[in-house]
Amino acid sequence: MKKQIVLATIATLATTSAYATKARMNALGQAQDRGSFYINDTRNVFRNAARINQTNNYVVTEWGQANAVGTEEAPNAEGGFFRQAGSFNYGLYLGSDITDNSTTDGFADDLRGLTGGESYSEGGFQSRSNDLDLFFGGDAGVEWGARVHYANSSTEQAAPAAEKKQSTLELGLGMVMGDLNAYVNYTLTNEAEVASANNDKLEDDGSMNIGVGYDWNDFTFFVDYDKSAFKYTDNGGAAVATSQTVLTVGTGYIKEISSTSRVFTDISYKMTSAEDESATAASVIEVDRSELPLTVGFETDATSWLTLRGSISQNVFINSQKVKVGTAAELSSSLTNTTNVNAGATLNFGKLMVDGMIGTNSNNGTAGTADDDAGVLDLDRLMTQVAVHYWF
Amino acid sequence: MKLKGLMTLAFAVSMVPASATIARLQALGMTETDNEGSYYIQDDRNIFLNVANINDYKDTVILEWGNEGSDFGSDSLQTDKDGQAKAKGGVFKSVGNGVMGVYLGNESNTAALLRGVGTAAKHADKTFSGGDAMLDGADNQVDLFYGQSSSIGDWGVNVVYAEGKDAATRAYNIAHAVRLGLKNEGWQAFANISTGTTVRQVQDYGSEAVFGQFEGKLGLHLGGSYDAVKSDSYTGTVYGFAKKFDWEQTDSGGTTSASLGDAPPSAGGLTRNSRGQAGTVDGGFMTWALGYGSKYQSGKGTLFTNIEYRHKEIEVKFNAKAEAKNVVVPVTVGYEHEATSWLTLRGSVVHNLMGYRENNNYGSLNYFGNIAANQEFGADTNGLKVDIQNSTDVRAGASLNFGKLRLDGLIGVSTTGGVISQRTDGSGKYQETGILNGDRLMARVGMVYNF
Repeated sequence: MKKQIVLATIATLATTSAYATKARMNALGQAQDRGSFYINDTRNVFRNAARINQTNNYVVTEWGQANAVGTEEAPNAEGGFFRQAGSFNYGLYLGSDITDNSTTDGFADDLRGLTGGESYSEGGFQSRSNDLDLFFGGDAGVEWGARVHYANSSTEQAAPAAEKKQSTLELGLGMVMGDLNAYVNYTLTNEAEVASANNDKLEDDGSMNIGVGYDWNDFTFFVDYDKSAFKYTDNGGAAVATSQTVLTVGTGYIKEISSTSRVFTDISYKMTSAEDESATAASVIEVDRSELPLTVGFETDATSWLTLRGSISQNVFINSQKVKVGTAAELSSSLTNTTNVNAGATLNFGKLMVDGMIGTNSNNGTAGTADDDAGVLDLDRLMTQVAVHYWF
Repeated sequence: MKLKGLMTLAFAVSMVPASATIARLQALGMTETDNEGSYYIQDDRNIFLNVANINDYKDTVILEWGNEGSDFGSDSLQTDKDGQAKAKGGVFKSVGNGVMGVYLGNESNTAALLRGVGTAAKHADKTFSGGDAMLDGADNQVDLFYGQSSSIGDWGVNVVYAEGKDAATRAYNIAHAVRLGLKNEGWQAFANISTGTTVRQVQDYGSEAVFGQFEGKLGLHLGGSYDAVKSDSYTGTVYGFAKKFDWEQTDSGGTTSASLGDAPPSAGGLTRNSRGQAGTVDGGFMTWALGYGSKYQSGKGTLFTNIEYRHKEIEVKFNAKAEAKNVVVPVTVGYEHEATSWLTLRGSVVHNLMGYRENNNYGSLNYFGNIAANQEFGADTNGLKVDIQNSTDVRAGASLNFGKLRLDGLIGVSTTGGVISQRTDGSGKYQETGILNGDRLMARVGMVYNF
């Protein structure tokens, strides 16, 4: 019996050791910000706060710069700790830029990869910074969790310019009840005032993330709705709005090969709609995408000190984009080059682990994203998007 | 009984195929344009040669690191090159008595080069001038596999599909193909059939709209091999194949202007004048080869040797017919050795015993078609036979073995390319050849995970 317990403990520790960080999520072809719909990872607390009950007692630091945009190739400095306290769990996370997605050109322009129409921001607004996330969760038969995201900053200016202000308040709630999980993340307020003029304003317009998942044997079925939207007021004029919604319906499958090796597969229908609004009919831009991305990944302990992982993803069969600019006819096209291979590694030093992407070149975050030198394993750039996590 | 069990296990382990990637076969001397596999070396890449090989690679994830590949004229038409590898990969899973698989992103280099050749001459010149008017390449390709063992041997089938469009440039492309394969203890045969390709695009030039189209006819790649000599340590394989593909290319714009002049030396220095021809012309290529490859296993090492006669030719029937022909007899000597439990090293030297090219009228091809012809067949010889020089090519590679996970790659690649004896800096000067740099551990990396 003792032997069984010891073996179970070892297996648990070995499995837990790989659960962490944005680099792992990217290497496995998942979303780095809110984590995966079906792979257990510490990042998932940003999607479903109740996940804090499943991964805690660790410190994590994501290497990067405080003012970086937070992409794979320009990671954001952030980190925090999560701890169990009796029957409750709590956590503190610093520097997360998870919903800091304002765009000057608008979501629709960003999607189509071109500029035009209205501007939805301008330089000079107080940047969102020093973000703070507080987590709290427990298990009362149903695992529950809550997350509060807070950021507030200001800069006084010489008269007659007014003080620049920025404030953000978001609330995340989640539950896990057996095989069922559900979550909502809602932006209560996210606004910046004063840029080049005192009555410039940038304010959130109902951003939210809602979803539900259900585990069935080795499969997880999920539905996720994500909306990002904000309004921009230029010098007291009429506000212009830009928004993007993403509806994802899919399933993920995990084949556990052993306690230290597993293969991941997911396929989902992803419908994206973005609209850049304008009072001028010719400047209204609408973009709609339909995609069916397929992802296959694996993760295995290559040695006692090294975990390797990798994935490939590509849109299959459904892969279209429709763009409508003003009153012009709608144009449809296929999305090009959606094939993406990523790889990553974890250096395991007992309770301390170092995660990163491998095979990345020219500062990019995927296995050969740059046109030149693609597919190369350089030792002078051992890992990128590095994160360190310590389990206590 | 225990000893018998151990011996059986050891034998079973030694029979596990040397599963690897493009990098392994390239290090051992593979020179196929599409890296579709070897006719005498067993490798998981061979599923793209003979799909029946899928039965040997069940429960495997394969990842080939890379990105979008190398721009061929424009970023809508790309090829997979050593220094600019194309991301691809897939998974193969046993299901009942069979094996199913899906492989993503395995677009054909040949298809991309032919679409470059088939692009309307004015479109190619517009691309040269900084636009993007090349016919689109196959993109987001999906390969679906199924294979099974039967009383007559292992068989497999692979369906290939890729489609794309862009209403803004009135561009559309679709390509589909099927691979059929059968293999037994000492022989194998396959038929890879291109069932259809249509690519078209319209570009405006002021008041003139030029329509270009590439329409593929039935394409065939037939081949087979037979293990003529076989012992415990030696296998000698006789093989042969023939590839044939014909197409029609339509160009409504006709020849390029007579005032364009030559491209600068940095862009190839080719004349841009009077290329192309209005209307529809036929094109076709044919490649065939007969060869003998051997594998001699000794302890932890294997010696590979190969000699073949290879003939390849292509023509586009303009009024001044553009044509190219290469005839070569390459000999390859390669080795693979398990240096340690975690490291396998391999290398090869390839050299033509005989080889000549006979090319003519490259000036009829569009600008990028000319570049493709130079790349695949060598420079125009004005219809004369010219020996192919400097054919000696040395390569090396390594695998890092972590149990069921392997990382393969080419080694000794100092700059961006993957061939250690043919790096140039663009001016024709060789640089940094013959160097093993520690910071560039491997290039064209592939990961194979058996689960």
